[in-house]
Amino acid sequence: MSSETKQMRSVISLVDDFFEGVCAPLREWLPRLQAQLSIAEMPMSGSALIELALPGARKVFETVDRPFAGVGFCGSTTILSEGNTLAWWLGPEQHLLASATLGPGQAVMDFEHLEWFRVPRDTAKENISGPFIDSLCSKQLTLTASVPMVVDGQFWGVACADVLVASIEKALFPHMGGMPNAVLVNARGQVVVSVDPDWVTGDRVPGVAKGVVADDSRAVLRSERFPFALVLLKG
Amino acid sequence: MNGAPVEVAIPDATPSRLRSAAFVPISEEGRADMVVGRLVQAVSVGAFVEGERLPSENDLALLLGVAVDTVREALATLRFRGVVETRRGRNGGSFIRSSCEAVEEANARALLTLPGHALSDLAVEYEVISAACAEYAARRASEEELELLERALDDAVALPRLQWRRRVTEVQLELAALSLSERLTSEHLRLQTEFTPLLSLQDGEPEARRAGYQALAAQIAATKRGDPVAARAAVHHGVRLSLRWLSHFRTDLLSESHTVTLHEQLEARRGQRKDTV
Repeated sequence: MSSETKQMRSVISLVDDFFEGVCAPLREWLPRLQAQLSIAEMPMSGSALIELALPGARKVFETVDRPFAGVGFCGSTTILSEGNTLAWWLGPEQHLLASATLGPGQAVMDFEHLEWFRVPRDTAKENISGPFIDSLCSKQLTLTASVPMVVDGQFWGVACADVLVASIEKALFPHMGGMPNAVLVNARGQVVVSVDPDWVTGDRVPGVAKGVVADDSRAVLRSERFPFALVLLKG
Repeated sequence: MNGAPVEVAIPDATPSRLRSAAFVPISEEGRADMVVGRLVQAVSVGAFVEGERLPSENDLALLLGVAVDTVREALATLRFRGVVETRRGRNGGSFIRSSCEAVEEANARALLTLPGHALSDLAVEYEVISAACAEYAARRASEEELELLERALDDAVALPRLQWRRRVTEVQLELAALSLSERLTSEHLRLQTEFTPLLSLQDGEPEARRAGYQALAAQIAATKRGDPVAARAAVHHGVRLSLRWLSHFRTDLLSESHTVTLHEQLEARRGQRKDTV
């Protein structure tokens, strides 16, 4: 194995570790929250959901060594009767996302179309979305991991954790020395983080979206667990 | 100490404009008006909808960083203008009134107090930032994201006036966020919040609404094609159309203002629209 391939593998395994660290506490939280919801009176109000979700969300914040920009649960209309569907806390002080800042517009459209809600709802699978500008919470470039709660075929909501692009850079860059043309892209071929000065977060690198095979101009190594690929651009 | 007056050294290169901006007086009495302006703006952009309860006086004071008395004064003005109504009792509070006429009047008043050049200057700044967002969104956004926006906009066509503006505003904010620029997006949000109340004045006229729809649809289509030049052009076209309409409207209102009140002018316009429908 060439040293280049070796280093690519080690970076991809760091990427996997990073996102595993984001998803694991959510997977652990979900069944506990589901058990609590199952015995609660339903449909419930947004404030009841906040009360129920708080201890678990706090624990998610605490169980990881990396800073989460936000952690929370977004309930579906199946379990909520009124109030905000978001029980969400923002790091590092873990303060509650004020309900007063959430408008009706969010309920009408935003959640329905935002990837972190829509994709796990439609596929019943874990999802990592972004980078996107988190207009609700951090206002920064963010990736959101979301794990769906599906009970008897009914979608109850998603447990989510937000990480800032900045914290991914911090985790990966120390290990990307000697790879001056490396970029990490998502399944759409959008740059998540880049060492290459010609590419920045958000740019779309043509020809590296999921399903596209590598050619002479680039080496591509995909993560097998998460929707990311490391690309070395040549020439 | 020799008792000589102490001189405060001011460096020669002091940027005096920045300094005078720093010392613009913060007038207590103007604060209630600012709260009124902010809440009317919030209703215009759809941050609050008809029938919705505003946060409590204490919460508003906390959120806005003003005294509770100031909030109270602002709410009294809004009540007088018919934007909110106050209900007492356990589920009481200040509620957004279902009529959008009071909001329209407040926005029309804001338009009239704006000098013509200030209006076009606002449009220029809005256009520049929106166009920059549009350019980067065209480079970066995925087709899938834009298809969702396309649908959201198409569904909006049949919506009543206030919901229409809210949806259009959401689509505009989302398009800007697709630039994936934190700075441009936050700047755009600030300008959109300021401009939307004025833009919403057009919404009573089906033709203006259609033109607004077409400009936005063209922007989405160009973004979807990944064509930054066409996306910028669509923004430019849309803003120019709106500015033209607003300038016209403003001149009309001003030309009649010595004979009839603003309230009567708007009433008359609404009456005319009903006749033609």
